Amino acid sequence: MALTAQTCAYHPERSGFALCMSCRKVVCEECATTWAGVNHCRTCLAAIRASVERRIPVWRWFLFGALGLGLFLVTGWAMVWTGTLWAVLL
Amino acid sequence: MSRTRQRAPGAIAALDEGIELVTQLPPFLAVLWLTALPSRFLFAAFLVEFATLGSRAQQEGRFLLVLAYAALLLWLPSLYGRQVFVRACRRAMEGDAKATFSALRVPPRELAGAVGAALLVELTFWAFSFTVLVPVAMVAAAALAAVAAPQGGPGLFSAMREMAAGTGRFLSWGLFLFFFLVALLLAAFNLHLVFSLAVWLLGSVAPVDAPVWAHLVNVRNPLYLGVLGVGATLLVEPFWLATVTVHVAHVRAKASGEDLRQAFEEIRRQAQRDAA
Repeated sequence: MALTAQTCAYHPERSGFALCMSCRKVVCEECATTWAGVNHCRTCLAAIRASVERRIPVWRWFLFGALGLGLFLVTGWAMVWTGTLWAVLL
Repeated sequence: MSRTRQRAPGAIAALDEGIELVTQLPPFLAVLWLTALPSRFLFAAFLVEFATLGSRAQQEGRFLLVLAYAALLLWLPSLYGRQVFVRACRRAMEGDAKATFSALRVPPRELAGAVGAALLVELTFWAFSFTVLVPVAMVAAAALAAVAAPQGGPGLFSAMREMAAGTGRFLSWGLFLFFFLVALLLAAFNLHLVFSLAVWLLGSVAPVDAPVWAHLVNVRNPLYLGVLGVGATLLVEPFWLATVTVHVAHVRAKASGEDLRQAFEEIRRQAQRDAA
């Protein structure tokens, strides 16, 4: 059945405009929001937003910081080591 | 009855769309360039030092290490600039033509994802610079680190997973790399022409020491080559980032079924036009 022949899951008096890619409900133009290139209904968008805004545990930030610092230090060494090797060989 | 064949957006379509996006975003272009400029010059100076020192580079390890860390430190703000530009591109793609300045507010988790992935890419680039294929692949990976990795948040593995999911067809990447390599060479050549013309004009209108300038603006001068490299990469980078942003958006749309929705919408519009 064509999308426009169906009605919005939240506004039965309105014709369908898009399909929510998360819950597969037909929604009207007002209820559909394109986020990251995909259509979502209001409820699913709120759920996505809640998950995005969920606090990241502090230990994860510390772990990332330590890993990042390690990578930063090793990259500096790699730059000098490789550059010196190139300079000597050429 | 006429039949419309829907064509999947390919590499050329992504290039076209990317170039169009860049023309809509001059303020964000300025952010990208301003944040990238200091680190690019320092990276160029770092490479020029090696070219100048030659085998003596072994004795200047400490100085070169300080230079490398300074370049890397200045490179971190340029990653923020890239994030701002990519976010502005995404907003422009979604119809927000003015791409409001909220693009400047990059969420810390997105920035962390991009920085982690970019550090890993940078390390791989330098560690495998003796091979040919790995550094070329890392040029593509660096763009993916800016465009796809932020969704992975703080964490290297999740960022890598997002990058892999946004890769798409390798043929497209081959085409992108070929086009942008040609663009880079053309940009460097044009910059060289501009510099040469400027020196020639300066020599005829102002009392400058023309031979000294002619020696400086010479492709045999490593410092000048570095400046040309910096200028050319700065000119090409916005188009490269915008194209990769469009490509990743196409790949994600295909994975989520959004491309089908758009295709059906286009067919419906066509049918309505035909009926009218």
